[in-house]
Amino acid sequence: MKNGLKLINRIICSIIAISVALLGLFPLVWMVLASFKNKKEVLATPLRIFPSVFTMENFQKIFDDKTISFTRSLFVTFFVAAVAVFLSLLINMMAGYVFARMNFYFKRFFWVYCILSMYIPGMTISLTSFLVVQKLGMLDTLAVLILPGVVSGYSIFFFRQFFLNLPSSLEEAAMIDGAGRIRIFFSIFLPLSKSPMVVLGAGCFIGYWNSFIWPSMTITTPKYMQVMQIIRSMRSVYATDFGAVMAGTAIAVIPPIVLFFIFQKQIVKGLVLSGLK
Amino acid sequence: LKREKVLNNKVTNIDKRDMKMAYLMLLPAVVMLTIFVIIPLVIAFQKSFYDWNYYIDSVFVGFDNYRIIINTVYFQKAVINVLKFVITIVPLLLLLSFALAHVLKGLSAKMSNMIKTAIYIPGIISGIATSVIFIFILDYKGGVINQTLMQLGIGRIGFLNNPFWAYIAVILPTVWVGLGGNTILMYAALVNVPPEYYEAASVDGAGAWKKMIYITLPQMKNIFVLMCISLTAGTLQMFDIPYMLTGGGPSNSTLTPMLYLYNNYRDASKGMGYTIAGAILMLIIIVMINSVVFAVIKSEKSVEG
Repeated sequence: MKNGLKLINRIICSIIAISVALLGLFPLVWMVLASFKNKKEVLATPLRIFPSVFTMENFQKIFDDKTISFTRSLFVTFFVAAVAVFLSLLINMMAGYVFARMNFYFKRFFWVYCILSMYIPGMTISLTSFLVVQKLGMLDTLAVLILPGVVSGYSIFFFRQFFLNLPSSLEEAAMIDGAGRIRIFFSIFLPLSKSPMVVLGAGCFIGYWNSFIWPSMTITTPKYMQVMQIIRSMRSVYATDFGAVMAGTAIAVIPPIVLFFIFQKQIVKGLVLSGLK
Repeated sequence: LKREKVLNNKVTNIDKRDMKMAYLMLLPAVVMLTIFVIIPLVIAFQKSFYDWNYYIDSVFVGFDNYRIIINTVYFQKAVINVLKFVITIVPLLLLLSFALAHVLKGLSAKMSNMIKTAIYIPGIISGIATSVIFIFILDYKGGVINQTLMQLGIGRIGFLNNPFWAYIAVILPTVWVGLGGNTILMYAALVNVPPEYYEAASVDGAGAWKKMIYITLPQMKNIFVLMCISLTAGTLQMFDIPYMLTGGGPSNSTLTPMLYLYNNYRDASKGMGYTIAGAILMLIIIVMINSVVFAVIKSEKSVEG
């Protein structure tokens, strides 16, 4: 009797969960299907679920269009995000290490200084950061895309938390052997921190890949346009030619999704950790 | 406790030797934060007391900018709109993720992991891409929702032309994006409730409803408070979905404060002083809301001893 109830409960839960998951994935599936439909079928009445022929014309169109430089934006955005991930991991990890394992004057002051940024709304900062980078002559450069978002209070916090939980014997032995701090950091702590690196690196990459407000304020040259800026302009250039817009969007969402699938376990764990801390 | 100790440790002689190293390793982070966060923040405070834009020189006006922004009809409307979004989106996400967490708990481990993955994917897609997808889905003529409504004989809905439906049209993708992450958090908190509590309650003959009120809800109080705060702070900063999906329209019915500030900032003819003053006001509100998190965490720590 009890087992029967349990089974029914499991079946009902499964049905609900699967329906929610399908509903959640539907917009993405619909986007992908639309990207393979020709112009007539995308908006056809009555509704066409699958394209009669899987056409590549939408993809051809967006990659051939000289006015929007889609291909270039994919490469530039990838480059920007990759460099940002590298810098961000290095700098934030060092800071996290210092706060967790070393002592110095004004430690508390620097700590507050570093994690303050976690609580400040991005828009407020963006508006006047613009004035700063304009003064520095950084508008329309790769540096303006990469540098401002590299240091993150959240990452420093996360790394520090991780280093706090490592045993103190780690440095002690190395220090007796006469190893300097830098060597200890790079040869002992860095190799140990793969899991926070994966979580924060993936998060950083996705954040940079998806960023729109800051690029839209600082980049006007087509040379350095970011993917989301291009998606935005595709929407206005192609208007209701949804097949083309969906093709561009489908490609633009691939990197974050691929990254998520590769590091899924760590990302979900990291999310739970950060949420419950 | 451990955290406090590390921050308060007295500096010893051994520490002094490699203190230089500590400052050196901290330097890149501090320099970059200074240039890209602290200086902009200081400039923002300063500029909020001046009347200026790209064409006119700065004139000190005291608190005038704050008076102007508070009395600007569009800003007021944007604040009211975003409060409406907060009181719908926050409870909606809390409720849905709470319910879905219970559903996930009833599944096998393998299945619940698959479902978690599926619902989390929308959360990693950019707001711009999300909005473009929903523009297509909600399209008046060819959108899948309207096509289906037509076939059901209900008739089309002008999602983006009518204030009420535009409001719904913004909520839809926002919930779509937020549901996965919040459900995963809720689920983690839910499975953390000690199962012995439920067993004991069952022995005492408590029904599902009683268990919910006397065990689940009190045990999950903290996660509710924390999620409520972070969702509120996040929703107050809503920008890209209204920007891309509705453009704040129709007739400013989905204009949010951040969107208003962004549009103003991009319009070189508008006064920058009061725009920055608006940004500072938003900053103050959001920092205040976020600081509640600290209070909650602190009270939790003191209870733990």
